[in-house]
Amino acid sequence: MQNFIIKFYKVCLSFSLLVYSFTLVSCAKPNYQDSPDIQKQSQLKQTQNCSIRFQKQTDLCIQMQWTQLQNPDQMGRFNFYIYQINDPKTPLDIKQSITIKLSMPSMTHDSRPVIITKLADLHFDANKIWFSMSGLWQIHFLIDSNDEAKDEAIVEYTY
Amino acid sequence: MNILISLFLIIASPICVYASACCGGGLSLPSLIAGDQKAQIALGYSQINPDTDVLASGVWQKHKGSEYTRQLKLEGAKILSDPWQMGLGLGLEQRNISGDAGGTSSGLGDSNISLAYENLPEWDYNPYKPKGQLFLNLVIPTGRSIYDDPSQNSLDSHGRGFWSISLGQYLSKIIFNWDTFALLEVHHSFERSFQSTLSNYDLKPGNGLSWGFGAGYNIQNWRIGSSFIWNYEDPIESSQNSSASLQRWASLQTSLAYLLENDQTLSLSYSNQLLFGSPLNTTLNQIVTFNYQKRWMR
Repeated sequence: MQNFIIKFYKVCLSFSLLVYSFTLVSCAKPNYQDSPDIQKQSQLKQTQNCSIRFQKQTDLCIQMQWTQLQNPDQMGRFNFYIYQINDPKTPLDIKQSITIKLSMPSMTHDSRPVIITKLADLHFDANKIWFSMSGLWQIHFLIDSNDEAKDEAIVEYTY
Repeated sequence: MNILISLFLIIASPICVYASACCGGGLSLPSLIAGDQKAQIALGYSQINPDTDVLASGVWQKHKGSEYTRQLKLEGAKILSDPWQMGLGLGLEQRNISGDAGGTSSGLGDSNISLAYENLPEWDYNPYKPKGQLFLNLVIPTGRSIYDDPSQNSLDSHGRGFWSISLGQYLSKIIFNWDTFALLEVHHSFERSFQSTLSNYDLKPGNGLSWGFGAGYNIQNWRIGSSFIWNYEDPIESSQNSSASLQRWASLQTSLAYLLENDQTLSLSYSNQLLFGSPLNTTLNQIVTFNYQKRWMR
């Protein structure tokens, strides 16, 4: 029994030394990349023809533009408005408040609700946007419309 | 001399919290009595500085903004009756994000309770045979997690948010002036439901694994040592999210310890998570820990 333990320990020790040697030469390989320019992403969204649609009411479109990028002194902020693609000037009958949540799919994190203020008909200000770490985030726009279940539009951002 | 080194071996054991990812929490390993003591207590103070975020795609980005976390951890272990021992760990945490959008938040971190069994006793002077301890560790989510955090910037999260149980094997051996250890641990974190004003769904954190090894060289009352711990966590799955990614990271720790008396030790350690392995979907930290330990001999 003791011989077995000694042999087992020798094997473990050899394996550990092998792995240790391996790890010494297998240093981490940093793949640093600058984060994308959110302002440019935002402008790109403005120039495209309805890149953000709701999942159920596919004729509903969102346009958004960042007014304040997140920095240590300020939370992020953006304006957005919702319109019908075929009839942009007709106000929509959105009964209840619009809500926005931020989520980080890779970490399964959710954030607290974003503060939304109505600026004009279907034109809103979204404030207190905070991404707690770098990575791919989703901005979920949720509306209650015509007594149906919540409809959702999702925008992806890499912070 | 071996008695002196065996006292040092205790501080070689992985009593630290290996913080990872954003917003509190991280792997917690139990406090173990590896020497000839009947009880020990340790007070550790750590400062954790996030350096780099590694995305799920493998891309590295310097952590934006300036923030740090400070942890105060009280750990104790006691021999129940040979070969059994139990341990307890409690933590306080303070998180700080600088700037007008940040702030400071303090709270209880996650706690742990452990039971260990000496399955490979070291009763003879065999030059090869290590001392082995099998341990069971229960992590209690006493710290508020990011899922329960009402703050807008996730500042109030100080724990991982899941009950977790782990089974591990710890091996230690003194060879001349060297002390060595190896560790293998697997854990399972339990499913929980998550409710907020916007969401209501179940979170399934799955399993995790950590393994590591280390060694230290002892000169009189001083010990200098180094250890390497590799960690893996399953993706946290939910019904609302099919894009969750696994997490992995590796920590290299170097430490300097001084034996004040036969029953007291001071140590200073530095841990860096940027140097080794192939990290994924995590925040890589640099951690400085100051530790004081008091022991009661048999």
